[in-house]
Amino acid sequence: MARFLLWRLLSTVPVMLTVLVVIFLLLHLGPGDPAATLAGDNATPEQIASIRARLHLDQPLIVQFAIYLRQVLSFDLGVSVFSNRPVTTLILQRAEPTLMLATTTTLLSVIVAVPAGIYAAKRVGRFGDYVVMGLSAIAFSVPVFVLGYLLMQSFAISLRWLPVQGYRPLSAGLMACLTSLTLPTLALTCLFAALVARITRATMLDVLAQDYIRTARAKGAGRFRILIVHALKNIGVPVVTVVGTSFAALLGGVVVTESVFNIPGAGRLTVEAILTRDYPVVQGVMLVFAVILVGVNLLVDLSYTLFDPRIRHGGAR
Amino acid sequence: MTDPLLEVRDLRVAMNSGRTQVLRGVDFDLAEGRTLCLVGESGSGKSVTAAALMDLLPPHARIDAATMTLGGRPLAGMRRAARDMAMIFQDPMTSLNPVLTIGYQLREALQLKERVSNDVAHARVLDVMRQVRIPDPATRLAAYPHQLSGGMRQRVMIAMALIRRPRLLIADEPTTALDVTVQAQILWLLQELQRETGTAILFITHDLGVVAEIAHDVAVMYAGRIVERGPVGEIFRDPAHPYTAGLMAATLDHRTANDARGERLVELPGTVPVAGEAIPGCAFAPRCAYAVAACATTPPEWRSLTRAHGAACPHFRAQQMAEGIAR
Repeated sequence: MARFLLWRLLSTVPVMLTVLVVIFLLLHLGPGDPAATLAGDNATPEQIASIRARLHLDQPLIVQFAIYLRQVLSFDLGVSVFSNRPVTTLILQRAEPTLMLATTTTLLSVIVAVPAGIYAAKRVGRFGDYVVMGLSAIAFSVPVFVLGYLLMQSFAISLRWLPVQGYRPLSAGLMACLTSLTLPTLALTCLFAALVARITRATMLDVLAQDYIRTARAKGAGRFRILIVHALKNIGVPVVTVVGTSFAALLGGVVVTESVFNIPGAGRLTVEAILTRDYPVVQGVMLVFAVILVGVNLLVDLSYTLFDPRIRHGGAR
Repeated sequence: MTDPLLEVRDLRVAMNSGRTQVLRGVDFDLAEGRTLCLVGESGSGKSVTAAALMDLLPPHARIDAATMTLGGRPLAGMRRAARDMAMIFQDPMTSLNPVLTIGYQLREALQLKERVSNDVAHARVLDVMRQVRIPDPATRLAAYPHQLSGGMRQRVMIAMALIRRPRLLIADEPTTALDVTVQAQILWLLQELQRETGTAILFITHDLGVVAEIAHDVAVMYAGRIVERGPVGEIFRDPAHPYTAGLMAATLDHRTANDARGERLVELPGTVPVAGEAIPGCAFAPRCAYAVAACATTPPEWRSLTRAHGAACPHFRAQQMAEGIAR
């Protein structure tokens, strides 16, 4: 167990180093002078020269990378060219809505989709299965913006139960925050839950066909007992993998939802930064997303040990 | 002789909601303390017979039997937990749940059958682990299946069956997936346990070597029917069905390939009929060297040789005798 933990932690080091190199080189991969790129289209030669000096672009590449590494390690991600504010501040401001939305969506999806998937597997080939799979196919196919506007029209505009758009931060109170997130969460959950339900069903069907389930049946274990005691832990690893990676993907992929519901999140920050060619912000956002992705993957891997004793004991899978 | 423990008459099983007939009328008895080996090629219906007894067939299977009783009680409709039987499966590597401890799986087997406190269950688990010669049982309780060897896992499977003190133990090729040395240990263990507990064993195998080791009686299955049945000695010495003779020749030939007699016997030609095919006559007729025209159209008559030994073939013995006289 300790060995697994240590090995898994160490394995993130080369991954993060690779990410840093790629992000660092991003600026240098583009055509022309990085300083000119950073300064934008209408910069004077003096501005370009000052940027070059400030960012040590006159130094050799390896020295620049060392400087970049030192900055990153002290949480300095540079300054936005567009707004002249520190990238760290910008990201922190925008991270909360996105993290909140991704969290509520993941939670709701798991609560809805895992039982639905298990139910479908239990009723495979029968009416209940077709209902769940049919709904998930529909939920998976409707674009988020269509669903988003439909939800907005019915629950916010017609019924006036919920706010139309915008985000109330956590500091305004948990209820206010959750209320503002309800519609975007519902819209995103449809997509996400459909995926989780399908994976849960497929994994459950696979597990239910295993020999050890037949052993449990031979003992006289009831259906409920077989599902909960014998099968549930065995579907843990694949389901957590999908939920974890999807959570990470959500963080970067909520741009459309954020736009539809006018939420000032990290997704929109990224899009704005790319459109204005605000390189320091793009680099910063990429780095933060990469760190979160690696972190989530790490957590997912560590959670395997809860489900599977073979991983816990470092044995062969 | 007392009534047999297990009585099966005209057991028929059809898969796909009755469309594919896989057992076409199986009859056999099994007495307390005896071991009956069900022998036959893959697809002959051995495992289906066991699954029908255990109620482990898929929901689309239709079971139909004139008699299927254990200790005089009909098995049809009886809850699995209420059945006085337990089963050991072929592959101990996959038959134990990888995420539950050995101790839990053993205790569950007991507590699903009998209402006993956790303390009593714990003691019974340790007892039964000792009974199947698992060394250091107290430590093994907390172990997960992947921490045990194949032979040890099969011992756990046997313990899981024994803890319910079954009157009938069904073993579906329990040694096929094991090393030869471990195989011998497991067979020996089963015999020991039978002596200790008096349980009846229905042993399914296609390995005649294993049959010779463990069986008291043998039932040879072919295409969903028992074609020959009798005490193991008589069957080996004096097979009365051409299929049994062929099966043994194939195995014996294997073992005595360099025998001085040089009696080389060929493997069985052809293959087992596809399940569900309608078979008006004898299912073995197309592969049989002794078949006459009537074999393909009329069901073979059962011929008894001794009180316990008989076969579904009226021609084989007659022809053999004729050949014997001719020689």
